[in-house]
Amino acid sequence: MFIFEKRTQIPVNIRNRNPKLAGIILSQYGGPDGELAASLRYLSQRFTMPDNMGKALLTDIGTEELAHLEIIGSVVGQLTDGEGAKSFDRYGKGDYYVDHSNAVYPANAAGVPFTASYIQAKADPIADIMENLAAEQKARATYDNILRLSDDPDVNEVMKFLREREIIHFQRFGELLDCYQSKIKC
Amino acid sequence: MVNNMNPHRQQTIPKNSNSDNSASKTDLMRAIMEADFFAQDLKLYLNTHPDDKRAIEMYREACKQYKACKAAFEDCFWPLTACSAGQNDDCWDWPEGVWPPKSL
Repeated sequence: MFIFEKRTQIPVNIRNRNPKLAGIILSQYGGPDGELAASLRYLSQRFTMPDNMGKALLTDIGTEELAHLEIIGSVVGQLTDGEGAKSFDRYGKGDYYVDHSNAVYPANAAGVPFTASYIQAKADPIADIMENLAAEQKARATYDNILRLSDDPDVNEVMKFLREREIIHFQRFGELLDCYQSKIKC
Repeated sequence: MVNNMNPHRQQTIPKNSNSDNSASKTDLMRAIMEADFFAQDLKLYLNTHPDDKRAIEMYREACKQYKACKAAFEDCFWPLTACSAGQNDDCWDWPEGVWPPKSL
């Protein structure tokens, strides 16, 4: 069951407007290694985790990724708040504006729409957790790239927080993997 | 396990650059976010370390703190969860407050 709380996990207050930066950040919304992919992956895999420990961890991390999806959407939304066609065009984002105006749409920075092809749920705990470990590293690497591309301090503060969460998630999945691998009889 | 993955050392939430007039509103919201985030971090840790008694105790404290700050916020400002809405028969208050993409 999902309960909504009317706040974000951390404050999101972006003072500047920048449709170009918003386009970059969008990859963590609808891109291959973004928060939508992460949340859908974990919330799908959880059904076939072999025990309650796995179900709890996958559900809890998947839920946190939904909260991160909301944060990314808020960053993108604030960066484009009140911005119109001319602004988008000036920042080279006329291609996005024509189909979405300043809406927040699940695509990556290059405009490729989100697809479930980005994820797998295999009902094999080892395969699933290995995929999740890779996913967390890819997400972390994507945040690294965003931090290289962005010089907005408000945005960067949020990106650094989200990046650090990916590292923690990676650690937890590693612990779950250790647990499951030690239970396999050879 | 590497020390910096242990939630006994608390990860922090970034400072808020919000210039809202009501100091207690943003202070309370920040307290809610910090308590709940600490609980969240402990929750993930406890899922893979279910026998860490100290962590369970810290989790209970964080949840207690979170509930108190949430109740105080909702008392003064607006409902944060739907089950806190509708205290006043005169007006449906669930839509009140700050919704994404805006944030306190």
